Amino acid sequence: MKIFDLFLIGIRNLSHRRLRSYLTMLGILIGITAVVALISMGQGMEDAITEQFESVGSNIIMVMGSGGGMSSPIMSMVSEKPLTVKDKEVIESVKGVNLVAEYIIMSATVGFHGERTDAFLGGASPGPTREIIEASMNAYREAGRELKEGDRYKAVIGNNIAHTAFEREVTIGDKITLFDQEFRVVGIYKKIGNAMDDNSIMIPIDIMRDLIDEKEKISMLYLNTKKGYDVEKVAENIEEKLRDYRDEDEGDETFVVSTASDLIETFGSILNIVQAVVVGLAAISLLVGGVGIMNTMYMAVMERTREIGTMKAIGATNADILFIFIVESGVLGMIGGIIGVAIGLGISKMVEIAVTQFYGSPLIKAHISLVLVGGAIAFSFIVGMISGILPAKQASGLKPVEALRYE
Amino acid sequence: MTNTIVKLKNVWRVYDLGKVRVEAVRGVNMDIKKGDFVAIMGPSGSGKTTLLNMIGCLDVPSKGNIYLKNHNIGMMNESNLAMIRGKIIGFIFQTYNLMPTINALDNVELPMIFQDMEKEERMKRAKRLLTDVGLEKRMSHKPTELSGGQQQRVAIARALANKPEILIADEPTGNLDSKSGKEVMNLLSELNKKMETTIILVTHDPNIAKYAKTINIIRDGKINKIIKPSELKKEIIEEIGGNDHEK
Repeated sequence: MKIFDLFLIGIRNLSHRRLRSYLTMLGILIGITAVVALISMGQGMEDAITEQFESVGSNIIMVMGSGGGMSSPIMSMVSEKPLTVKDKEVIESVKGVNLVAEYIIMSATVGFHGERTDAFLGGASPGPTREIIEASMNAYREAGRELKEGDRYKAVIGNNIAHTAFEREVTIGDKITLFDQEFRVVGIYKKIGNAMDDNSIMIPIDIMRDLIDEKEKISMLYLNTKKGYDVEKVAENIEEKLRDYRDEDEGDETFVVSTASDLIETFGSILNIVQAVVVGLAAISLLVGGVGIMNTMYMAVMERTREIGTMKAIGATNADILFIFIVESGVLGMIGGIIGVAIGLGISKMVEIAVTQFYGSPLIKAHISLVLVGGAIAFSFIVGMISGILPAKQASGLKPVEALRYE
Repeated sequence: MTNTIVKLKNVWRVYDLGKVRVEAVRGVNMDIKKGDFVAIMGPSGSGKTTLLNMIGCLDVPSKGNIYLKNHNIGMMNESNLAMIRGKIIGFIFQTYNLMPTINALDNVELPMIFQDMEKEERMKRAKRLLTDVGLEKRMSHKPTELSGGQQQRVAIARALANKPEILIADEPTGNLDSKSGKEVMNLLSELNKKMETTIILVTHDPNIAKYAKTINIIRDGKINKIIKPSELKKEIIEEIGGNDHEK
């Protein structure tokens, strides 16, 4: 009861503060803004990515060659020991493996109405295995149709190729030139969100092999597992079998087997580093903010010395005074925190909108949870309270006679 | 004696200011009965405020004992002193010392918060007290919106909030014009008569001291004389060095 009333006194004192004492909570505000925006976006990004992988089906495994420590589909074609159709057969024999899709990708020049631009040319076999590739790329069609069996010089093009790469829009039925050969555009992908995929052109793999005169090598293998099999286990088995077949030692493989959860993990660890850096910066900001609050509280104690003396004369105990000042300080921090949370969430919502506008798909969804909001506000209150401890102790320790005499 | 409410036994207050040792109060003995109205008079620097602060538990003696009712305040820690200040004593200051940011009603309510009284009861009592001091129309005014006399009346209402047995007043009319000063003194006399509240006030204004039943003359930290208001003669007034307000 009394605590509640003292709490109100603390808050009431704050409402009579001048603007300058509110400026001191800027540090807290910035710190909380940074933390909230970061956590909200980071968590949102993680959510979005996990969601995407899950919608694709987390039963997809990717195998690619690694050359000289690099592992990218492009490098794997030119590495010392690229994957070949033989490797594909080995993988197909592993228990639990359902469909295996081979995919070759390379950079190529594409022409359209006399203009030329660079693109990534991907070859995939039409039919069910192509769906695995598209699914794991998160590629959906915006217009037209997919490649189907029997297609020859037909292409499905990435969103950038269709809309931004050339002066004129490329539409369904248009003809583009690859390796001096005309291809008819039959489909256009939606925006995916990374430059490589959005600048890619998908053509039938047999045609691509003819054009580049390459019958064996494979950039990447996408496969899915049969129902009821543990994806990680299957991935391990594939690794083992491939190692045996290619006669390589563990740790020195020239290929990489990865699953969706591996990618999420990799992504997560990158995010963690970014988070650590931002949290570090935010901690500095919060520290500065705390010192600012401490400073303004010391000023308040000085300005209100006589009031403190009077309160003691009319019966306030040292504990009462201590409590009033700590509350005041805590609430000062909390106000900074509340504004910080609002701005932080605002920023992440704006990023969400901007990213969605730009890529056409929600790559980041601002993650707004009660734990985040409540936690951030509670934390700023605690920072404020801690900053107020020393000034409050000074206030409560004042001798009544001296405080009353203070001019 | 059972009806003694304040008893001072050989009370000293010494300030050690490095090289200088100031003996503000030097061996004062005093007996104040319940319901008494005591004025402490003396020239500036005679130690009268120091003495009053010790009776009011704002300060503790360097030597000697002060008994308030049955409490020996020299033996008490700060939180017990705060309790006594809150429950037994009401303070009235020369400069009113109202909280500047809150209105009259909230100022009167404040001491009751520290005694953990229920909100409803607090408000009721605060309104009653403000009505009693004639400020029923000024309850929601802030101190800066009130005249000096009105502010002092708010301060008196605040001092009475926890039904104190002793009122301590340090130059309560020092900042007031003579009319407002009279009003304040009449209010205090009335309290003393009707409620039997013991009043101890410090002044160097003989016109104010006349309201008291007993006048203690203090000089150089010692009680020099104890007289009745009727004995307040010219020589004594001159000796004290104050015929009117100092300012």
